[in-house]
Amino acid sequence: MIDQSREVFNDIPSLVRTIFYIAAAISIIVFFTGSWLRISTWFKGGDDPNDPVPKKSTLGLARISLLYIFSRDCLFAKRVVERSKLRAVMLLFVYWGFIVLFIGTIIVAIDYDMGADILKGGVYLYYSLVLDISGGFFIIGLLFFILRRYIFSRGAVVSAWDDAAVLILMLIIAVSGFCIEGIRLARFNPPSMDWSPVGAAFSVVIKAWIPDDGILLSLYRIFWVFHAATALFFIAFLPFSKQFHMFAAQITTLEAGMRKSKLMELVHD
Amino acid sequence: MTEKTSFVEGLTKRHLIELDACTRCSECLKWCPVQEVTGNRGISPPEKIRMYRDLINNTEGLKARLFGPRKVNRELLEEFAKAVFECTTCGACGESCEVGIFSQRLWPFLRKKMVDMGLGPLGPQANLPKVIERTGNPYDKPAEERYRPWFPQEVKVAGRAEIGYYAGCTGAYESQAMVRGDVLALGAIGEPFTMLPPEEEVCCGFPLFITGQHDRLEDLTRRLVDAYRIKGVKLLISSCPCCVNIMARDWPLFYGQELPFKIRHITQFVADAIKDGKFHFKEGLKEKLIYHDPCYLSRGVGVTEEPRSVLKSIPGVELIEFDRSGLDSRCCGAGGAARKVFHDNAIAMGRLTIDEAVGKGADRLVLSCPACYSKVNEAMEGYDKQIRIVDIMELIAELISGD
Ligand code: SF4
Ligand code: SF4
Repeated sequence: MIDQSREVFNDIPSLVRTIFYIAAAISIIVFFTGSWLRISTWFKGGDDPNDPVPKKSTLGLARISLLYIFSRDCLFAKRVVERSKLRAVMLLFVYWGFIVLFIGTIIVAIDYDMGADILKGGVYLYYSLVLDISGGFFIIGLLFFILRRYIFSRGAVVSAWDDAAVLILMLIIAVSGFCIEGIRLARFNPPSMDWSPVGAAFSVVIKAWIPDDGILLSLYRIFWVFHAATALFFIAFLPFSKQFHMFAAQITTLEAGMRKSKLMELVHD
Repeated sequence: MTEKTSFVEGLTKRHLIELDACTRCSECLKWCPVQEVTGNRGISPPEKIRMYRDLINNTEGLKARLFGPRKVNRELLEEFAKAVFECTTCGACGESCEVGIFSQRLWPFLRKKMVDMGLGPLGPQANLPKVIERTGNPYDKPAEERYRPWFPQEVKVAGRAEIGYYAGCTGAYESQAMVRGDVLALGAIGEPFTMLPPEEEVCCGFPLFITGQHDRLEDLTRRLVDAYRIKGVKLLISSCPCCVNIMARDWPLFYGQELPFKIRHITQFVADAIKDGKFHFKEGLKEKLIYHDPCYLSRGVGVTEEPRSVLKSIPGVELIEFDRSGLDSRCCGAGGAARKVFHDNAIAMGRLTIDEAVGKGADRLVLSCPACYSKVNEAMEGYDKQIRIVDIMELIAELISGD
């Protein structure tokens, strides 16, 4: 097995690293504050005995909003499949892509910051492969939704400024992530290259355009900062944008399923 | 309206979560009949949700929490109020909603918020509470005319019985062929049934509920529920989907406890009677019928199969379907008490239904709701496409009495 491991801060000056950690802490605090504002607003609503999700406490609501992300109806986009297979597949690319990339980031944090040292050898290779492919699908899905909303909609899609903001932010984060990966692969040509097919494709293009290692290193640093900044901004921005639907839509999706059976009880019991 | 005005108070947790859940995917636009006839994106479900979220931010957003509530944008508020009252509350957007927002219940409560803020109801809707208080019905008609013009004298009504029949105001005053059919069918099935005296059979409350004027709902519910309870009713039947809806869904809440009887739509009762061999059609009908699902019967209480099974049991009938049927049916324009305020929209929607029924070569368009019946008939006036319209219970009566 090829001996490989993940180098998170390779070639990143220590001042930048420090700024990154401070910015990350701020972004996470803003995220939790914003999310709390939204969820505590839900809790100001009354209870309706007809609702399948009534008297939950604020924490209870926060918990189900996270748990339901992994429900079958959501993981397989049940309601979207019923209407459009293509859109469902694209949604799943984004949904699963987001979940996998998010979990991937948590694993890196555990591995690097907590010193768990798990991302090495075979585990690292599989980790690379899964994240790389998920990132690729994530980008395909995002492009689909950007085209659907802004190019092919012919006025049939209602949009506000934050629709564009979240789609473009996610695309920038994903593409800049691949640029970093591509530059790294272009510079070092590691034997693990085959385990990052999308990153490898980026590296081929990058190498063909910019053969100079000095320029590649500068670009690497620029993209790294850019990637980190957009990702942290996205996290902080999320609860203040419509993207917060990712913590609400799974509750309504699951409720809709429960409601179907309740509906029949009304006059069929 | 003050800066302290709360846009959250009076809504439930589910409503508030739903307002955060919309992804603005716009799938619902394809299914919204108001969009179809107006093309006005400003009143689409995602736009209404976005507007209301902005209003909530006045008091619940970060800036509002840090620096105090913002001044309400009056223009936005008025725009929202008009949009939420122009909707027919048909619920097609909710059925097609990719995240399952229960719009048929969300819009009426947002209407109520607008009423509480003095921005609704619109036009003649505002007279409803007074008129209902005075006459017991929203049409300002005398109680003594409630049954007399249409009630088939040959059918006997019991003083007390386990089965109760509620004619409903729209049926009794605006769609009399339907309620006459109800009573004839009940008579033919032969099980004893009871009714309230006309002055006691007051409005079920739906027009008030749907226009956001909830003040008298508890009182109306109590009067009706107690009256049927005293008569020993265990099963209450009506052919008006809106009545059935509010009875099954909201009466227990207004009554404060479980109802002492079950609720059924009349087509369910007839379908059961046919299944149990208590009733069958002697006459056949060599016709191609197309059945329109009323929004509050299909999406409201899930009754889609029973009317079809009744129609299919008529010998000789060929039953055809609209492109959008069952839970996906398209509103005929009569819903949400919008038909009298946004008359042109309602007529245009009714004509879409007529166009499709004619286009599919149906001999008759079968409805199962008094509001649909009167609106589609109105939409046909002066229209170049014509089709015979019949309520399912009117059709049954025709076959029973050989009219
Ligand atoms: S309830 Fe019906 S009319 Fe109202 S927005 Fe939804 S689809 Fe349109
Ligand atoms: S289908 Fe549902 S989530 Fe999509 S725009 Fe309509 S209301 Fe919003």
